[in-house]
This record gives sequence, structure tokens and C-alpha cells, in this order.
Amino acid sequence: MEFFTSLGNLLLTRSDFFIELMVQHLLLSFTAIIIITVVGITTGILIAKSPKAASVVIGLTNVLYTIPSIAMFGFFVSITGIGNTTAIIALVIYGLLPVIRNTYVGLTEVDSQIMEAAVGMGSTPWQLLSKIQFPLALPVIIAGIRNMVVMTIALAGIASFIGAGGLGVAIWRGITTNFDEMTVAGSLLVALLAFIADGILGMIEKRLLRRTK
Amino acid sequence: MIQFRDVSQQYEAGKPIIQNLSLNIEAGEFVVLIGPSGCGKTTLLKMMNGLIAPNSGEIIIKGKTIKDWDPIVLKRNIGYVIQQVGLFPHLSIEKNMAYPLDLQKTAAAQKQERARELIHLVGLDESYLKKYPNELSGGQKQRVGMARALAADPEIILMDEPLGAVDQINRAVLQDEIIRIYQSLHKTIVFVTHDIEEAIKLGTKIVVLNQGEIMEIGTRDDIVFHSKSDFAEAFIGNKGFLSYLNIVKIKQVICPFNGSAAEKDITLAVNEADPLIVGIRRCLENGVNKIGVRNANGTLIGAFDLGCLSRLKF
Repeated sequence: MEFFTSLGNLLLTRSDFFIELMVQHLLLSFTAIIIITVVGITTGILIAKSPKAASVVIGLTNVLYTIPSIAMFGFFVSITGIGNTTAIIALVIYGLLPVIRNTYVGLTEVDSQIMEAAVGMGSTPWQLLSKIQFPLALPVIIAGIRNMVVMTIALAGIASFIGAGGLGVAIWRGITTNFDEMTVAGSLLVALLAFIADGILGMIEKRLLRRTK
Repeated sequence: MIQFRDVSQQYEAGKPIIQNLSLNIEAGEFVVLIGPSGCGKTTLLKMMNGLIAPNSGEIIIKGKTIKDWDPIVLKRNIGYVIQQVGLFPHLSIEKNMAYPLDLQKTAAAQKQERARELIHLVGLDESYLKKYPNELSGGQKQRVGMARALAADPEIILMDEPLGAVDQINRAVLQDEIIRIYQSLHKTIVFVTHDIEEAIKLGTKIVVLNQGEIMEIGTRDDIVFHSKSDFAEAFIGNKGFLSYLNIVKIKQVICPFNGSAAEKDITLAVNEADPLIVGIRRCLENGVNKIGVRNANGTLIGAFDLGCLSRLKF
């Protein structure tokens, strides 16, 4: 009980510090999320046309996904140095898999009869993709993005180990100075951000599902 | 309108789908392609809008060989209906029907107006425009599928077993609807089916296919009574004849009265709009050779005579 009171006190008295860290955390995550979304969806669309390329690309992202995050961060420090750039690169590499895979699966699993009807009526490849295939794949793609957003926000907490900002700073400081309240406060706020982002995306997903089922 | 000259198609060597096939479809014909599974009827249909390109031979659509058509423009000039309907689940019925217009960047107001025309044309009311495909029954979906094929007002409409997944009762209703649309819009329709009754009922020209070759081609009279190939004879056979009796109207075989009592018995009389089979049954039930025929107003206008039937020239 005493722990929670001092945790509350810490959050209140150091609110400026925590708000600044949260903003840094969101900026770091969102930069990565936007890059992942753009690159991931584009890659997914491109490989959906060729099953061979798809197995290579998805296989490769699968392998990258299995590398432990600390190792990944450490590896990129030796190339791009410490700081936000390295953190974003590592976050992007981790986040790509769910987005590429879900875009690919969503696009390739659209009912072939629906595709044939659209082609038979004279859709150009771009019209087929933009008017039929992509909208129908959207719920699956959004599910992948949701997965990726939560993961990226959580993983950004580790980024301060390599000198990036964000709530990881609070967690790291708490651990090194044996200040438990600080560690817990940082962790709780990371969880809160992930939770809110997941809730918002869940709502979007639900609205989309209503139409396409 | 559509010509095939010596067209062949095979997916793997030695297994021809279509063999040296030639076919001529005139404007305004309702051509039914019929045959057992794997006979090549769907392949033949998909060649007409360029979904499948032949290995050899020439296909001419509206006077231009298919190689000279822009494949996208060709498809936009031809309506296309498929068995599973293929409505787009994420679009409202209105947007579904207007899709072919949407592809050509038609103005929104025009699309809306066309959607309203189309929904009436296929016998649904405007409340359906805002619904989504998952709210419709199988028969209603198929009506929307037909409306969509008609949206851009194409001269040619291809239908690939459009009623294959519809139940018996709705199928008969939709067949009548297709006949009505065909007669009012004067389109050229090519229709694939494996249902003999459907073929006899709908086609002004029926093409019987087997193993990629045309076995028989002709009107329903030709196909049912003057079959020249053993295959068509066996394939169409008595089922075709029965369908014929179910479809040809008594109106077409009315004889003059010649004074028997049964002819004048209004309780025995059949309607001129009834099919032949109703008249034959009525005669057999009552043990007579002749019965009266009445028109829509109920007045006797002639006789239905079993003896007269044999003198009909088919």
C-alpha cells in the first residue's frame, strides 16, 4: 500500500518529466509505425502478385523477427551509432513481419469468384486493387497493423538502452538506481499507451468488419 | 456479332479443351451452350470477353478480331454474369450495380439514376439500393448480378450458369425474368448451362458441346426432333422432349372446332397460355382426344386435338 502511495506521489510530483517521456515515446513509436505501415503494405501488395517472391520475403522477415531485440539493437549500434535513428531502424525491422504477412494473406484470400467478376467487367489492375481487392483485405491488414502497433510501443521501451528517448529512460533509471517506483511508473505508462492505441484500432477494425462480412 | 473460326485451346499438351471450333452468333440471338462438365462450354464463354485467349484460330467480336480489341475495353463492352454472382460484399447494392459505370468514371448523378432504372428492371424495389449483398437471398443476389451486367448497356451479355445455385422455384421465376429482359432489351445473350430444361426454355439457338466440339446446333425444334448426332440424341433425349412439352404453349397448336361434345365442355377446356403437357394430361385424364381452348378472357377459341398434334410440323 505504501508502495502505491509513493508511486502516486512520484507520478504527480514528476508529472512534467513523465509527460515529456511519453511524448518522446509516442514520437519514436509513431515514426516507426508510419514507416512500417507504408513499407509493409507496399511490400505486401507487390509480393501478392508473385507467390515465389512472397515466400522469400515472408521467410526473410520471419528470420529477422526471431532475432532477440537486445541483439538487434546492439547490432545496429555498431552501424548507425546510438540514438533515435538506430531505435527506429530496429523497430521497423521488427514491425514489418505482421504487416507484410497480413497484407499478403488479406489480398490473396479475396474470393476468386469476386475477382473474376471484377476482371470480367473490365477493371484495370489498379481498379481491381483499389476498388475491390484492397477494401476487402482491409480488415485483415488492420488486424496486422494493430498487432504491430502494440508491439512497437512496447518494444520502444527498450530503445533507451541504446540512448533513444521515451519511457524506457524512466525504466532504465529505476533499475540502475534501485528505485522501484520509477521502474513501475515507466512500465505502467508504456502499457497504458499500448492499451489505448490497441483500443482505438480495435474500434476502427470493428467498423470495417461490419461492412465486409 | 460473335464469330469463332477454327478456334482451339488446350491447357496441357494432348488434352484439348476446344477443338477446331467454328461458331457464328448473330445480333439478337439467345444462344445456349450446353454439355456435360468438362465439355468446354465455360472456356468457350470466357474466350468471348478475352478472359481466356485461344491457342489458335480467330475470334471476331462486333466485326473486329479479338487481338485488335483493347482487352479492358472489350470487357467493358460485354456484360458478364457468373454462377456465384460475385457481388462485392463491401459495396451497397446501388454501388454494386453501378460498378461497370464507375470503371468508366461516369458522373455520380448518372450512376444513381441508372441504379434506380436497373433495380426496377430486374423486379426489385428501390429500398434494396441501400442494402448490402449479405442482406439478400440467393435469388435477389442473382437479380442484382444481372442488373450489374446490364449497367453499361452492353450489346452482348455472357451468362455462366447464372442460375446454377438458385433453388428450383426461384429458378423458374428468374428464367422468365431473363426471357422478359431479353425480349424487351434486344440484347445478344450467350448462356452456359448444364440443365437441359433451361436450355430448351431459354435458347433461340442451342449449341450442344462435347469434348470441345459442337455436336449439334439449332433451334429447340431442331435439337429435340431432328438430332443428327448420337451424342446429342442421348444427351437431350426424352428429358429434352419433356421440357419441350412443358414450354411450348397450346396457343401454337390450336385446331379449328369440329363438333365433338368435349370441345365445347368449358369445364374440360385448357388455357391457351398453358404448355402442351397440360392439354395432353387433361385429355388422358378424361379419356378424350379433343378439348376446348379458352383465351385469357375465358372464351373458347378453338380445340386442342391429340390427333392434330401429330400433323404439326416441327
